[in-house]
Amino acid sequence: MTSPLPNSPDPNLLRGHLDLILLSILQGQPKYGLEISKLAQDATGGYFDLKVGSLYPALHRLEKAGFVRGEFQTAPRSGSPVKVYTLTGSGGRELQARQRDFQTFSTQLGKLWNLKAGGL
Amino acid sequence: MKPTERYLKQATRGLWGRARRELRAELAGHLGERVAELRLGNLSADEAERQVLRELGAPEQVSVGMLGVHTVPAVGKTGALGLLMATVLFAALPQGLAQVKGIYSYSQEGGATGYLDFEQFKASIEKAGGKISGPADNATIRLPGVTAPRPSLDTHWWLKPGLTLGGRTYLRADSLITGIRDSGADLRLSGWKNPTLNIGAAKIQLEADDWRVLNSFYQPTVGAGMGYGSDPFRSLEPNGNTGEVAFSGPLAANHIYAMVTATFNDWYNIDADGKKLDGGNIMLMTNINQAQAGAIQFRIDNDASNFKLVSSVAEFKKALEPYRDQTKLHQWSSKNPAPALLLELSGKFGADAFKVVSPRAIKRR
Repeated sequence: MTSPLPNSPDPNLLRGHLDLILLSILQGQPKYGLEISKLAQDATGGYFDLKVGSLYPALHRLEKAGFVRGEFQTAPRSGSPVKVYTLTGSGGRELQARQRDFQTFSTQLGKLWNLKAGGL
Repeated sequence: MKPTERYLKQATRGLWGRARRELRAELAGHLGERVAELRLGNLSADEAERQVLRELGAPEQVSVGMLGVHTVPAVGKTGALGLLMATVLFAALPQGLAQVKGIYSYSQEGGATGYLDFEQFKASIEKAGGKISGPADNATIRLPGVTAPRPSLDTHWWLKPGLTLGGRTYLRADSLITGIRDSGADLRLSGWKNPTLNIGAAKIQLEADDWRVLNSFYQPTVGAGMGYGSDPFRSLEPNGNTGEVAFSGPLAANHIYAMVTATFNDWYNIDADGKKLDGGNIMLMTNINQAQAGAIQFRIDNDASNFKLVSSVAEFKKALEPYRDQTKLHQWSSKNPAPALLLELSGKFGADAFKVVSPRAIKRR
């Protein structure tokens, strides 16, 4: 019998991969904070629930590092100015590098899970 | 105070200036958009506001997180900068000139800037007939051939912060060059890679070929030419938020040119006790480079990628006036481009420091 997926990731796991999550979401189309947060929820069935307290500091950190570029635009419904984030060239390269790191890490960890009792 | 106002105030607590205004606008946009969504589901304005504030969570989580992004690391007691990166540069140099090594360092406090080796600078000044006495942070420099108005300089007034690297002490190149200029010395820079600093008849070879260090050498000439009351200057920092722009036109091969434009950055001066004095919201960004015949390329801050070249310093300053209101959020766009100057530098430090290149003669490529 398999256990159901947890409703949300361990907070430390989420924190450790927040940049990768945000860079992944910003692939393709520019998005503002509320859109990013909703897309993270919708695409993962609510598993990634990005709180404002971690979302905006992370976006600003990525902007400062030059991986995303923020620009104020008018929001569609309210007409309020919202800051729309676009992945930069260096952000795209960073995303690819982090994807590779994550896949390598995951593959290597999987090897440990497949170890039988008594070692190799 | 309304709940939303209270939330925004608490969420931006501890931030200052532009960072605070931008975060406030960004969070207000998030709130406004989510409230509008919920109202489409027939919630009243008050109900929608309450629900959104519940969804957002504690405002302190935002402010604490943002402080980690926007605050400046502490500066050590000695004034040495938190050294994130240092590159020692070297190159083959002509024999016979006194040589002073330039290095590059980046700090949150000082931005990107070049530094000069104090001991080598001291040796070069003495070889040229001047004298430096005392340690780097409290030295008196007697410049060769300078008699008035200030024949000697005291580094403790104007050379902080310096830095120590590998047991050697380095002084900020821009402060050192500006101090020598202010002494009344006949000062001129010539050449690009490994440029020569001419102090009267004395020649000092500055050992550097990194654009960041070379920019810190030449930037004081741009500031001098812009005149008193100019907005503060900052060299472009290789922080990822830069692009490139190229021009063609009647640009002389091997001549040095500067591109000056403006970005919105809050700044203020402090006195010796750390008390805030005057300040503003505009900083001038410079990038300096050597031209090939008919062409030149500059690095540019992406915030000022929408720019328009203007034909005089007066026109440049006038174009900035409508944007000095610090209570408003400003951003350059294609409709409201940043004014920009393209300057041909002479290497001198005064009204003759540069000539403005006419925008009519220049084509952006």
